[in-house]
Amino acid sequence: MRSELKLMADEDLARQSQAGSLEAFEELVSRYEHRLYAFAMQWRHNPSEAREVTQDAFVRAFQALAQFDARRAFAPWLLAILRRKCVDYYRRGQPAAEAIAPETPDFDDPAELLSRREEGEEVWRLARQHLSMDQYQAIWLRYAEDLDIGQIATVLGKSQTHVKVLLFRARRKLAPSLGRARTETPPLMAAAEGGNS
Amino acid sequence: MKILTKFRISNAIDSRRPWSESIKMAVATSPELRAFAERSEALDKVLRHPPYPPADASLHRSIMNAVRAQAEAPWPKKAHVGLWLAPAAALLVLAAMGWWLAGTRAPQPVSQMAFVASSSPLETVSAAIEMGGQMSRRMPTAMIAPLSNEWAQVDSDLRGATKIIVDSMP
Repeated sequence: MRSELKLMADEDLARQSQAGSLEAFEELVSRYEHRLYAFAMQWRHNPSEAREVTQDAFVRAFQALAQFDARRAFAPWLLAILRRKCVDYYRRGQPAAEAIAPETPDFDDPAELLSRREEGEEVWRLARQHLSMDQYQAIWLRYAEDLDIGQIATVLGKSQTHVKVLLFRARRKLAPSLGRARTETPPLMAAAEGGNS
Repeated sequence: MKILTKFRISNAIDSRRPWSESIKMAVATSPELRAFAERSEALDKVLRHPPYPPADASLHRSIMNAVRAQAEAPWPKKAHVGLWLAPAAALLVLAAMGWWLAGTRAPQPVSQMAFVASSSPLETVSAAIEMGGQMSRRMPTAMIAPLSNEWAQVDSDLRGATKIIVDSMP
């Protein structure tokens, strides 16, 4: 049964969950818990709060399963619930903790991929510093969640044109940062280069 | 106009489809647009490696515990019933009030007012007194009872006014 669930599409699992299958919903939790946690961390920067928001979002999704239209994609619906939860937490005025340097798992080790990943971390760090919350979330949903414009609009509760403008402005702000990230050599690498010369 | 072309370049990157001929042409002829396009494409590649924060291994267990507790709790169904029951009851009461008011309204107040406006002063006064009497008879007792003193006052004022007009007539 478990292996069958693993092969099913999200929307089919949601349909089974609507029919009362807790196992199907658990499979959805397994698929999305890390993605939701990552998105919540971008908003709150605090592991315990991100964990709480993620849990609340899944409970809310479970309560609201009857409202989900299984003809539509499941991910934007779930992420929209999470975003609303994040907004609720934000409005309650709980102070977010300072940003924590994220760890990234290594799946591959080619030099180019590694350097791109380092550069990516730097650009994402700059994005968190310089972009507005809406711009940052649009960029995150575009690249981390690989959502298209329409799905991002659903999650953020904005029009597609607004999302396009958010992504455009984010790119304009980040483009100079990319140049900086490329020219700034990490201290360890600089030391190694200095030692070699 | 370059800002619009930059916007179109940004959209083209998001759509992940081949660029249109007009964008290619604009990029080829403008160094500024070419620089923007190159940086945007480089940014697109770099951003595909977002930093995923590692989640606690116990996250799954705590989520499912909360979901199971929710599944066993009966309150959402009760709340769901309460959600539609209250507005439905309010609508029913409003509809009943509307039906009752429609049944007890004066039949043709407009024509009476037209008669009052087009008549002589004496006829006007007598028509007003007649209307007041009709209203007090037609309106339900529950509505009139709290205003009985006021109605009596209005009635005596009208009668006084009638007497003055009749006395002043030659």
